[in-house]
Amino acid sequence: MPDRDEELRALRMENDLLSLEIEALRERMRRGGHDAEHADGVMVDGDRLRRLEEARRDLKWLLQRLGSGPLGTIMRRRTGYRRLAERHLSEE
Amino acid sequence: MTLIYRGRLDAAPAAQGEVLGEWDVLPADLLPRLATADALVVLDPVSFPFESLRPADWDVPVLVSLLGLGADDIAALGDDALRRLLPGDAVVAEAAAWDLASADRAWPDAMWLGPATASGVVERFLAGADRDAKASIRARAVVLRRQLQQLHPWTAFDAGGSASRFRPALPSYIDWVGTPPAAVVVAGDLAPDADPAALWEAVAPGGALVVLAEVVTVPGGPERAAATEVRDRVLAAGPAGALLADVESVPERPGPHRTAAVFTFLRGDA
Repeated sequence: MPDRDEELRALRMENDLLSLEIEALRERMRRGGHDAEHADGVMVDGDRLRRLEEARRDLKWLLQRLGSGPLGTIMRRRTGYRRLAERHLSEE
Repeated sequence: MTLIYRGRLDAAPAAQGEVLGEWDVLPADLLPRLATADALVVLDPVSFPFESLRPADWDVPVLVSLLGLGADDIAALGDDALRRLLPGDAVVAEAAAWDLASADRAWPDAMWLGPATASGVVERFLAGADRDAKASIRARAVVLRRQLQQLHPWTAFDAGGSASRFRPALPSYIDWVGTPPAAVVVAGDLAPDADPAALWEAVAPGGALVVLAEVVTVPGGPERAAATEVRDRVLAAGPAGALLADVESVPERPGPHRTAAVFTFLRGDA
């Protein structure tokens, strides 16, 4: 069975990837002025952004589930979990 | 379970598996079976409904027999079947038919199993067939293709040959040059100890560097650099105006996770 710290680390790295991807898409939209077309003619796929937002919501849900109930008491003792929770559950 | 499509042929099954005839492959029956199959052997490709397969159905390792087919048949199979084959799939064919089918498809020689569907040949393929590995290559190839299509390069350079396993799925209009510099340089697998400076040296002024990197250390797996570390490392090694133009994560199948990404960097000095 995988170590929980390893799972948290993988989750953190996946969040890092999704955040970077969303940041890149937002930057392209910002430069394009609207969400349909980039200034240099490259299409920005709104559906892709939507799918990413959904994936990020799923990951947040996972974090919330990990942090609730009896398991949550143990999880919140973990630095890795606290860091993820601070980053992704307290930002909105 | 291996699905063996015998179609209109009377040949004995080439391996253990569920044997399907011409009337057993209605899409409503076939597609659910494909979703859980370990491999698909197609002995009569002309009558197999390749056109019904959805993109994810191609995650299954496929062996296609071209035995007895002429040039017209092979050409007709191109759009629906042969165009979709990737490393992880296999072809049984006479040498001339292999040459014809593989021309311009960048298939590695390892995909050719020779000119016979003798039991041992097929069983060796089935023993090595790995649905997850094929799905992984296909998922990465799809994202790499999409990123390259945005750049629409006529020429590209495959740094280290690492993109070769994705080539059959990449845009066929790309002319892969043997030596840099090139307008687009593709690094198919950025190793943790790779030197991005060497990659940038291969990119022509105004060009782009497209990097596939594994960016999540999965439990029990090898150590990886995180996505932001990859971005920072590549940009730090690039020219002053270099920028990250896009990042696209690779959806893994099976499972909801994303562990790899394709980064598109621009030199920014056009």
